Formats: sequence, C-alpha cells, structure tokens
Amino acid sequence: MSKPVTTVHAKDPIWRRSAAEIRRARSVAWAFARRDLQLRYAQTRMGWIWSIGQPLLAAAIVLVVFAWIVRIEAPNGLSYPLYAFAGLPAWLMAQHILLQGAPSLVHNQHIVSKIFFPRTALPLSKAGVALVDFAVASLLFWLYRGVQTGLWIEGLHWVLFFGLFGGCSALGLAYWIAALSVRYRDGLALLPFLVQGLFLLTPIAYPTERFANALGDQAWLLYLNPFVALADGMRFAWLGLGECQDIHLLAFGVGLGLFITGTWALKSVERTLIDDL
Amino acid sequence: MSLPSSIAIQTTGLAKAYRGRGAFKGTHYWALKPLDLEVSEGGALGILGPNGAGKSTLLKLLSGLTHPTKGGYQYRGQMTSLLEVGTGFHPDLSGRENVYLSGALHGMTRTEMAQRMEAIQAFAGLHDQYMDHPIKHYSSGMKVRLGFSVAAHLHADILVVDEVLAVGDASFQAKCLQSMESQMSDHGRTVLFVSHNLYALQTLCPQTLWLERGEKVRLGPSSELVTDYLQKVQTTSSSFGEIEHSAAKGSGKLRLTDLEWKAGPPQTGVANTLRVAYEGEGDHHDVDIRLNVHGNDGRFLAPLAMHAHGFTPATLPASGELFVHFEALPFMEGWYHVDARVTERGVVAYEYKNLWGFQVASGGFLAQAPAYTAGKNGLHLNQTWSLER
Repeated sequence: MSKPVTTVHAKDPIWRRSAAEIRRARSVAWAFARRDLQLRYAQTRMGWIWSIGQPLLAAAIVLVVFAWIVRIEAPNGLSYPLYAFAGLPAWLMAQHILLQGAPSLVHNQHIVSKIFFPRTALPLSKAGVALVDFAVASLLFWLYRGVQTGLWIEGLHWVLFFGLFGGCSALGLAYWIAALSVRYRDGLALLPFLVQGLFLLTPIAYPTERFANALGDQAWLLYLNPFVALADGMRFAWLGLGECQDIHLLAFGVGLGLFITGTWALKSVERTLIDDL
Repeated sequence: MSLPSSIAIQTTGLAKAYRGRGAFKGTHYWALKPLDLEVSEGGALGILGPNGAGKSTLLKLLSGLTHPTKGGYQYRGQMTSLLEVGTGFHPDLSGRENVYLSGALHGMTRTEMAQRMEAIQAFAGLHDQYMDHPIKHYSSGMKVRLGFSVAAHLHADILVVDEVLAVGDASFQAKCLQSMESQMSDHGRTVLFVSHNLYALQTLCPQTLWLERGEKVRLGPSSELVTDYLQKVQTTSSSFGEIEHSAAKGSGKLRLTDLEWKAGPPQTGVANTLRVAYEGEGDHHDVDIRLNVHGNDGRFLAPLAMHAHGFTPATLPASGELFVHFEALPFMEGWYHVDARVTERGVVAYEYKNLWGFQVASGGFLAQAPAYTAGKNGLHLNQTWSLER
C-alpha cells in the first residue's frame, strides 16, 4: 500500500484548494459549531429558552422603536409586526455571523497558532450556529404568520434561498474582516458600528420605498448593501410582497462578490497568518 | 521532484524569513536558512539548539502552520504535529467532548475517536465519571494526561513533536516516552522531536540535527551531538557575552546578566558562592528565580530556587545581585548546564534554556574523604553511615 506524497513549495500558487481541504474545513467547522452549540447557554438559568427568547426580544425592540415611537406603517394596510418581522430572523443570522465570525481568528489564536486547519473553518462554524438560530426564529415567525393569516408552506424554498444568500453575504464580509484582522485589528474596532449601521441601512423595520423618497435617483447607492436584497427577498418569500427589480441584481452581485473575494482574502493570508497574528 | 520510497520527509532548501518588527521594521531576518534534510521511514530525528535556533520555525513549516519563503518539502503519508498538549481543549466541555474536538482539529472523525475512546481514557488513567465532567474541574495534571493521550492515539505516519514531554509528572513523562518509542517500533511511525530535555532526546532519537541561528551546525548520532552541544554551551557561555537576550522568552522586565562562582573554580565538597546578577526596569515584586541544573547527559538533577529555599523578599531593586551559598558543593566532578526561569508575581519575566554551564573539579564531598567516581555526574546528599541504629 503506497501512501500519498504531499509536496509543499514556496512557489505554490495561493489558490490551490483540494477536495480534501474543503472536506477538512467542513469537518473542523462542524466540530467548532458543535462546541459552540454545546456551550451556548452554559451557566444560564434559562438555558435553551434563550434561543426563543433572543429573537422575541429583538422583535419587541423593533416593535417598540419603529411601530410605537417612530410610527412607521406597513404598506397596503398590512399588519406592521408581520411586515417587519419577516426580515428579522435573516437579519439576526447575518448579525451573528458578522459579530462572531469576524473576530473568530483573533479569539482563537491560541488554537490557530498551534494547529493547522483551513482557516475559513472558524467563521464558517459561526455561520453554522447562526443557521440554527435562523431556523428557530423562522419557525417562530412561521407560527406567528400562521396564527395571523393561516398556515402556508409554498414560499418556504424562497426563505431557504434568501437565507442562504444572506448567510453567504455576511460570511463573505466576516471573511474579509477576519483576513484583515490578522494584521490590522481596526476592522474589529469598527465592527459594532458596521453592524449597527447595516441594521439601520437595511429596510427590515421600514419599507424599502423610503430609499427612493430620501435619495431619489441616487437610491441605487443603498442597494450596494446586499442585505437590502435579503430584506426584500424575505418579504417576498414570506408575504408575497414585491417582485425582483433590476436594481436588486446589484445587491445580489455585491453579496456574491463579497463571498468570493472574502474567501480568497482569507485563503491568501492563511499561509503566513501566524507570522502576523 | 519525487520522493525516494524509503524516505518519509525530505526538505530541499527549505527556508523561512520573517519581517522585522519595531526598530527592525522594513528589514527581514532568516529564522531558518536553506536546509536540506532527509528522514527515513520509521526513523526518529531529534532537533536541538539554543533558543532562537530555528527549531520551532522548522516544525511550524512542516506542520503547515506557516509557508516557506524559499524551497520546500515533501512527505509521505499523513503527518500530525503536536506543538502543544491539549490544543483546543475547552474548559466547559467534558473530557469526552474535548477528545472529540481535539480529534476533529487533527482531522479525525467522531467515529474514529469513539473507537479509540477507551484506549485514550485508559492511557490517561481517568475514571469514567471524570470523562463526563467539564475539564475545568480537572487538575492540571489530569488535563495534560488527557491531552497527551489524545495525541498518542491519533492516526499518523509522521509525528512532529515539540517539547510536549516537558509536561506532566515524572512517571507520566516516562509513560509518554515509552508510548513514543512503541509508536516508532510497533507502528513504524516517523518522529521528529524537539526537546530541551536532552535525556529524552537521546533515548528516543538515534540521530539528531543541531541548529543554531537558523543554520544546520551538524547532523549525527545523538549521544555524540548532545555531548558536544553541552560542551559548546558551556564554553561559549561561561561569560554571558554570547547570550542573545532577544532569544529569551518572557516579559523581559528582569533579565539575568551573569552567573559566576565567586570562590574560584567550583570543586566538589568545597564551599563556594554563586553570584546571580540581573538587570531590569523599576522595582521587582515577588520575584522567584529558578536555576535548574542538569547533568552532562541532559538529566535534570537539582533546582537552585529562591522561593523553595525560603528566600522570598517582597521587593528587589531594578538591577542587582543575589548570592547562593554552599557550605560544601554537592556536585560531583563533571560538566553541568543550567536552565533559567525568572517569574515576577507568577508571570514569566525571563526564561532561557541552556543559559550557562559550569565544570566542577574532582574532590571528596566530606573533608578528607576520597572523591566518588562514576561514569555519570550527579549530586551528593548529606547522609551519615554508622553501625548504630
């Protein structure tokens, strides 16, 4: 039985990715995600109830601020909670991926500097955890929607599609910040503001039409934020509202671009990562 | 490039440069200069050298943690590197879950780890009930045992090991050494082994590579190399001129600057005083200096330790001297070398392996008693022989 020979050379191209490496990244990500899920609510009194409690709290905040204080109304006489909550589970997922995934290399540097595994695995593991949250929150919204307008399942594949798109966009951004954080931690210092800014710039709690009201012809600028497509997509999937416009393609393109370039960015710092971290 | 069938690892011109930092910004230095090396299958190669010799860089390159600047390497089969015991262990997870996690980080599936669980548990000597407890409730010894046990049961054709035997109690260390030996003899594994424990290195590895300042000094039979290496450490560092402080580990707040026998060349059984000079910044609080004395074959012999010998000053001046008095020097004739470790409030301020060496001249331990001769050197203990009970 002959064993495989591995060759490593200084001049190896950066983009050399084997099937084995992708498998390895997946299995390490799964192991980390499993660890995070197991430890999730360790030493909390309420334990797993928090996985329901957290999205409910987020929903309550949106309701208090945007429905009662700012008094935003849903278009077409829709109930505001139904309108606003449709995009909330997906946004919470994106937020989790950004806040947890971007600093994951720095937070785990004691592991990263002692053992090699594809570095994309760490942010990816956070996305795995976020996906579980997304499923729980979506289930809650599905029940709520069921109570309001009757049970329905025909749009669920769209929920999954836009959910994956949102996850990939957030992951791409997290990859970028993680890759930069190897040498410059500035991205991590900006992270809370980035997340807050994105939340305010993403039409989750208010209608997308407000963009045109505010910026007129320059409204396309706001579609550079891929999460706009996520918010509109989720309202389309859950509520059948709106349709895909050309301008959405811009948001889709940015999201996809972020994912591809982010993966490349992390991959290209991978081999000298521990020299700088 | 093709790898000859009997070779497990081959490096060709393997080299690594790091960017300079701080005052050296814009420059770079070679942590490892082009190295050609071959390790045959089932063989064991020891690597020795002073701090900053490039040992760790070589291991980091081979384990894929960092990429070569020049040259490259090839290896056959699966390689697992062990730069630390228990990497990835999480305090809140149970022993069992940590075994799975650690395995996954090394590329092992859950099923593979489950099959090995019993053996891992047995080797670590942990009871069933402990395996399901969070490891934050373990003693540090238990954690180390579990960590090494996982490592010993990973599937690998090539094992790259850095200093991991330096942990745990003596009996567990012996067990680890034995396990490493059987990995080679029974499983035909190839081992690359870095250790400051020159005794373990000689026991485990027939061949040793001697690195210094990123360069190969020699490659040859371990016993020969270890003897020569210790001689060199002792001759070059009798004064501290040759010591590169940048290679020391620790915060650097306090640095040892000189070690010297005050009453001339030390002789067995004769009174002498060791002067320990240091420098640093600001007053030092709760300082503990440990000088670990090793024999000529690298065995650990005795500590010269401030706190353990009842000297615990609350503060020390920024720079100064300390004196260690011996009424009758217990060291037998021969060469000794010293590892230093200085802590301030438990934080390591200065750590240097093979910092200094000294030669002890022959003499009787007691006045008028004949000198004791043996193949190895060691220590005399105070004792009284008589016919009475």
